Amino acid sequence: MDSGDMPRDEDYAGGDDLRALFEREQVHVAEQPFVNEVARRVVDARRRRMLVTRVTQAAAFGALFAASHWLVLASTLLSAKLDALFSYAASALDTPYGYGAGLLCALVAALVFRRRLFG
Amino acid sequence: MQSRLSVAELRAAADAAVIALACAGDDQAFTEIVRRRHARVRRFMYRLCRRPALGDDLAQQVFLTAWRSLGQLRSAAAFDGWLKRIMITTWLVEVRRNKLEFAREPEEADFGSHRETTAERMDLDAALARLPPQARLCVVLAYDEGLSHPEIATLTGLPVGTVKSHISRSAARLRELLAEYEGV
Repeated sequence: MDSGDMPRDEDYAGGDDLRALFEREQVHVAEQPFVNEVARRVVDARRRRMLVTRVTQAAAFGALFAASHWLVLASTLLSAKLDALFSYAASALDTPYGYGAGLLCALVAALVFRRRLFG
Repeated sequence: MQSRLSVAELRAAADAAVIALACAGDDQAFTEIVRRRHARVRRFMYRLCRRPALGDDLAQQVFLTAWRSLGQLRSAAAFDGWLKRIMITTWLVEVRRNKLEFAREPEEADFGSHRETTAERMDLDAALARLPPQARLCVVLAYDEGLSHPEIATLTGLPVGTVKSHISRSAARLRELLAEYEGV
């Protein structure tokens, strides 16, 4: 939208007097110190934003460092549990029932994705 | 971020190039945008709030919001419409937050430093100040910014019918208030 567009005549029929008055009564504004003040506030805002980013990064790094002991313990525990789960799944699948269930899953998947698989 | 162009080069550069540089994080380019647009934004705010100090404060808020949201700007060509939307939102937020009085007399000391104090101008502002904030916004957008009813409705979020009624009633009220002045 261009602000410079003049309004359509049907919108402002008879509003020429007011348009002319607004045009005549333009306020004169001095460039300085306004522009420098905005520039200074932008620099301050950028500095604050960078400071917040650095502090957040440092806090995240510190939290990671402080929690590293528990993170290692948790990953060891998770790995042991996953090992147990995979070995149970492997032994369950290595039976006639397991083969049947696998075949059934493959058929269902082929039905669901038949359009993508067979065009 | 250090500017890629000197101040003189930025002053001579096309609007689209300056906006693209500002979007890329060039603060000097953004200052150039402020230099090119400050008069329009400040005049708009003065018209609406009738207090130069508050008008400048709101105009600064507009530019800071624009600087923070530059990443959301889709194209340089859309900049002016996007900035206008920020101007309107800033004004509406201020109205909601402070419940601005709208029949307040101007601060003489404030006006003295900012503009010529002709009786006619004081009266246009005084007449505008007597309108409710929403109606004042519609009138300023219509007669000062030259926007059509649908454009005003889109920018303000008001139904077109409401915009039309605000403008026709406010125009009549302005004519009534300014009747004693020549040409109106």
